[in-house]
Amino acid sequence: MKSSLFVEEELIYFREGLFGFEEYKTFIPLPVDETSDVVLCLQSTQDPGLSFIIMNPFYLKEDYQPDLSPADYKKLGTEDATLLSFYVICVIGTSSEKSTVNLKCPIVVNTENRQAVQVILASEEYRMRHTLNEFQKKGE
Amino acid sequence: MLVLQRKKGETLLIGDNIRISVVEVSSDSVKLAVEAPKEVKILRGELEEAIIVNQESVMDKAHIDDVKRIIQRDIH
Repeated sequence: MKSSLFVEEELIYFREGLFGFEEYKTFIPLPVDETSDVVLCLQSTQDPGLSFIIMNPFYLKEDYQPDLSPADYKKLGTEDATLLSFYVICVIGTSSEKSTVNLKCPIVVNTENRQAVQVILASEEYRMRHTLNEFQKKGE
Repeated sequence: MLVLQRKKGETLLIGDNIRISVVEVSSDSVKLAVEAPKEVKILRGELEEAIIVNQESVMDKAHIDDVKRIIQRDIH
C-alpha cells in the first residue's frame, strides 16, 4: 500500500536529481519556521534524512538575475520565464557570518508541471558560497 | 603540467582511448568534443565544486533550532 504522507501537488521532480544526489528525484518544500515563508526545507520523499534549507534568492538580492541556458529551458519543458520559480540552497552555521548561500547553482522549478533542475549559472557575479550577512539590509 | 596549443579542428589524444577535439573557439570560450569510454567520468570543473557544496548543504536536523534562530534573528 502506498502512503500518502505528502501532498502530490506540492511535490517537485528532479529528473536528474541535485548535483551529487542524482538518485533522489522527488522532493517537497516544507516550512521550517511558522514565522517565515522565505526559508523552506526541501525534503526528499525517498529519504527522511535528506533535506536542504532553501531560500527565495530575490528576498536576499532583489536584482538577482539568473540567466538560464537554452538547455536548461529544455529540461524544464518551457521557454516561459514567468512560469519559473527559483530557490537557492543554504548552509546554515551558528550565525549569519558562518552561513552561506549558493547563488551560482539555483534550483529552478517549472510551476506548471513541477519539473525542476539545479543549474550552474554562467554569470561570474554569483558564487557558490556567499555569506548570508552580505545581504543584510543596511541600518537593520 | 603539460600546456599545449591547439587550433579549431585539431585533436588531442590521452592514453589509448580518449580523444579531445577543439570544435569551436570564440573570444572567451572553447567548445570541446570528448570521446572516451563510458566508464570514464567527465565533469566540468565547476560541477565538482557544486557537488561538494551540495554535500555540505545537507541539513542536520539536530541543528534545527540554530536554523530557526538564524531565520528569526538574521533573515527577518
